[in-house]
Amino acid sequence: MLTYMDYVQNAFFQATSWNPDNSYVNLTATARALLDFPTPRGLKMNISSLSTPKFGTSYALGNLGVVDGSVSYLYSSLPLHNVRRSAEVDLHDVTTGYRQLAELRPPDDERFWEVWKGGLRVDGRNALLFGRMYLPTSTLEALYLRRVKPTTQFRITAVSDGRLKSGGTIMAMMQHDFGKWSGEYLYSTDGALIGARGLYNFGRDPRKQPNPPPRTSDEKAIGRFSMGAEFYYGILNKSAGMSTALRYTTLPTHPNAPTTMTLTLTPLMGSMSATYAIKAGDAAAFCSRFDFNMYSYESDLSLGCEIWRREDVEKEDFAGVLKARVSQTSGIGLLWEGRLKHLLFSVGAAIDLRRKDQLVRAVGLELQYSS
Amino acid sequence: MAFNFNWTPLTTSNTSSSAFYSHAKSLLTAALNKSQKPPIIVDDIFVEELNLGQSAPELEILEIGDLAEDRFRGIFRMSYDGDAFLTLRTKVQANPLNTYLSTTPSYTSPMPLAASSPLTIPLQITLSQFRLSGFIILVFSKAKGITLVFRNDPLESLKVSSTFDTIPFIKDYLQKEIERQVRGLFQEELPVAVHRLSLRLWNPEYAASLGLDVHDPDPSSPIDGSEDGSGDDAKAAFTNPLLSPSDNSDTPSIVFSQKNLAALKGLSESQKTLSMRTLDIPDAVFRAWASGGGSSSTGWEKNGDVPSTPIGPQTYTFSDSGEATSSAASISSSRPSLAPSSSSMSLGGGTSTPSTRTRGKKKKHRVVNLRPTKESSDSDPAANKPTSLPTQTTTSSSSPAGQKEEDLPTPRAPTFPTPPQPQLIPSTPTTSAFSQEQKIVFESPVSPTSSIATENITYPPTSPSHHRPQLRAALANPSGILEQAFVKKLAHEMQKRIEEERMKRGVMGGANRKMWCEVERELAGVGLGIGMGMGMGMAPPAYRQ
Repeated sequence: MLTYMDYVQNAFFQATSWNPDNSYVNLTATARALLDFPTPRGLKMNISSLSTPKFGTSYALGNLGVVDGSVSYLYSSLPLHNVRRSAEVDLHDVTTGYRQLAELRPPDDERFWEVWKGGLRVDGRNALLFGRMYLPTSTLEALYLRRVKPTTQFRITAVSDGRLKSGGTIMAMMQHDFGKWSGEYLYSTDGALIGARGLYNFGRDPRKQPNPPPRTSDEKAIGRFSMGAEFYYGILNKSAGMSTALRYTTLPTHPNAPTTMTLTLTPLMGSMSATYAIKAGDAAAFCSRFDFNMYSYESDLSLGCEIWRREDVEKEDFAGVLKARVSQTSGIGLLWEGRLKHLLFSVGAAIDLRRKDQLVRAVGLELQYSS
Repeated sequence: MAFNFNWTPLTTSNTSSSAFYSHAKSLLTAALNKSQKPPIIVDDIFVEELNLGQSAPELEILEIGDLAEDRFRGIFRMSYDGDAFLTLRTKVQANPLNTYLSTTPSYTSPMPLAASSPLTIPLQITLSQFRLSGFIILVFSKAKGITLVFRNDPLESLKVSSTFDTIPFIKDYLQKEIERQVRGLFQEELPVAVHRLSLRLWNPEYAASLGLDVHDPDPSSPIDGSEDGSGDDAKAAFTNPLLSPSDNSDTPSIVFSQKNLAALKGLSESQKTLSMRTLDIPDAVFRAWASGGGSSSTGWEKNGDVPSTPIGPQTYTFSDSGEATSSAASISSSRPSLAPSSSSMSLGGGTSTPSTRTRGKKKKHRVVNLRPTKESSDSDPAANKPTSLPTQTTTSSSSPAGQKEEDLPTPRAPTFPTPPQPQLIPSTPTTSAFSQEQKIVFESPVSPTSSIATENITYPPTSPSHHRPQLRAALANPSGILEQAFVKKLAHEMQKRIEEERMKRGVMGGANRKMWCEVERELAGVGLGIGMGMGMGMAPPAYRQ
């Protein structure tokens, strides 16, 4: 389950019409949501509130260790009217699952962002500030997000922690999204890591053809091919890494069941990964993944699914979702997320069948309340 | 002086050596996995193979600063050029980005899609061709355990071969990194480990705090040894009982050859008979005499039968730092008084073979005062009985109970010999009859006309305020053999003399080489549990004074 602050950030992206799906990092978002979902550990409670449309607070308390917790504050320069309370939020917005990609839309025309007053341009750039302090470890996380242009977003994340080598780390990232392609360039102070990644969508360019052509009956399956690559280089430790990936996904207009397939290659390390995910109706999705390393011959097969439970068959309202995964290396994971009255809850367990002495690795319950 | 290691139990493929190796492997595996490993290592480290090779390290005594039943302090020179090897096996993460992500906080992680996919590679590292050369300072105290320090970086070279030998970059990195680790191991971790282990063995409180069985702190057992070279260096003999063949553990600790006994007997006789013939002990020298004056010569190469090799590099200094606080509880509290002696002691022997001295500076005369001085007789109330010949047997030469611990007075001014007054320290009732304790008093400067024995001795001027250490022999092993007891006592006296000489500013005109040989033999047999060879190597420049 997403934390409240992640949910608010997604609301900010939505309000500023930023499409996080059109990024190389989220190329395998579906497979990760179905196969790599985290299971809660221990008891954790979140109480959150967006006291004004621009300012939100969140308090978390857990029993990991003795007692730990965090205090978070968030400020958005853009009023976020699309944030819902926990009693009425759509569960799809606070959980991750099969991601149905929408048709690409062109970036906003920059002229639409201009605000003129008395012959002077008075529009600012929307920004989001976020800070979270973990206790008792006194770790501080900070985020600064700024929508510089309709095609550009600037993002700075920082962690301050006395246990880190130089007391903290800062990562700056510039993100571009032109619809047809997107790119991200980042720099991290930890090891002076530089990175670049890009995603290219084959097919229609939304900037030239803003509206998808009307579907004809004889046309083949409607889908989208995307290809991307990433490259990293640590200047200080002189280490590099790269990967490349390919994705095919069906679009909402596709007549058959939504399907997503990806193929990921890491040439330097000799590993490859193929995923296949299918959404069977509104209430279920299945995913499988096969990993193989051609250097070490290590392989892994993972299977996962999510099954939604309707509260009322007629009202199209969902009461919760059950996620399950099984993998050769990481064992079994079970997660049940749902809503009980005004509370969002998440119950899960991680089971490792290979270790007889410690069969259940983690059991947890997480509760969220927001107003 | 060098050590003679009995390395054969490790090279032969019998059960004891295989048991030793399996034990050592398990210890090493546990030690390697105990500390937190770097993130690049993703599996436990296993010791695949361990072999100490066919040849033993060479260990050489440079200096013995303090020696008693419950403490020891010395400096050794160690060198190793053998064929020992060690093979380690583990798994490493070959993707540096994966390692990077495991150390960076997740909130600022770049969150790569797949570039951090793991690739674990089995890694096998073989360390071989060790070249070690270093100086070991070993301080043993029963209360404080063993302190072992490498004075310098002992690792000269080391060959690292691994799975990645074909990739020069990784090969160089591993070579560099492992050399660094091994240096750290020798200079930091090994001393700590030895210290802890020794505390566990001898300090009951420390062992109790660890909840361990307290090893019986038998004072003689850790320092007992035999001349067969069964031990490693002192540390190994203390800490690794596997290195000592079990069949030697209960044998008498001192074994003397007939030849040496005969030599000692001759030496003793010469003292009784005022014979001019003096036996020499080859290849032994007291460094302070030989090198105290820089290149000044000493009377050591007398008799001409010693090859006229430069003895500077072969000499050693008894350290004088940190010795002032050594505890007084010692077996040497019984002060030997001077035995009837004559010029046959020929300390230095400068007059006998002046022509052999080619490096001599201005020589000084020394007198061996064979009579007790007034100071000494005053301060030693027990020394007022006629001495008898040291031929009685003894079962123990350890400290007579109740004897007052007192340093010998250091004569400040020349004391001219008075008629010989034999001294006798009453033997303690708890020990058997050996009460013959002899004291040799060297005095300087001396008028040659006044002494019975006059020697030409060159010695360096030294500052009188300098505190000198005491060298004491631990004579813990009872023996019914007359000769053995005699030799022990004789060695004891040698140490007394050293002590006295040190008090007198290290001005020793010389000594009988054979005596020194026996002193060191004694130290080896009693104190260290190791056999000593007679080879003397070249002392390093740092030890030439």
